[in-house]
Amino acid sequence: MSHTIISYSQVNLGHSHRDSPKIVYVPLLDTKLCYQNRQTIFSFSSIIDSGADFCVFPAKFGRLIGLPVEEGDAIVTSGIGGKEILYFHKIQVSVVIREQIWKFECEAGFSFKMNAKGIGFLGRKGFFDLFEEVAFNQQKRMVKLKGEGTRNLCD
Amino acid sequence: MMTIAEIRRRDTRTAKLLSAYPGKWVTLSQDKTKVLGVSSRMESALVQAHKKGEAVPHLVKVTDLPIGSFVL
Repeated sequence: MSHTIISYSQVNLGHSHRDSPKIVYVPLLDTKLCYQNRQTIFSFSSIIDSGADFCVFPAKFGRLIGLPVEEGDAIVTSGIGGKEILYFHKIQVSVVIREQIWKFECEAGFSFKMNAKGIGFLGRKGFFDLFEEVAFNQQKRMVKLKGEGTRNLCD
Repeated sequence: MMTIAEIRRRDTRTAKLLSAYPGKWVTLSQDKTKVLGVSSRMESALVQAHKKGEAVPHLVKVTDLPIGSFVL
């Protein structure tokens, strides 16, 4: 069974609070979104997030590819940032894993709160479903993605 | 294919590059070595990058907001 290793990326939090870390390390993947053959004309970073039930992206990015964001099924969620409404749509997501493009379809949530962050979350439904095992090695700052990764791949 | 060590060196350089633009939307070249656009508006940062010939720039919001979250 094949596996791929992804390194965490360094993120500088320049003006963070006094006691919080200035630098954090997070597992990020370059991501693009596609809806009805309209694709984002840029890539952006998404966090591999085992705590996220779904893949979630900024509503702003959805609108740029013609998604009628607020017409999607709305679900109220709760998390560290408090309550939030996610609008769900079936889209195609492309991520770059060690220089290879992976595409998958998923019901992704779109959040207006995340517009200010400009990043996405690759959650368990959709992204983690692609793999047999997703293992985080916090000491080595690596994620191991195990499996052929073909179950939900399209194209 | 880049090794993990090479990826880490590149990511560290990129993080340093971005730290000069707190609160801004920044567009980077695909290899993340050059800043192509900086603006407080996302659209403007993208236009700057496209004008410089980068078809698919990498878009970053340089934020000091906590980036972790979970969704239930």
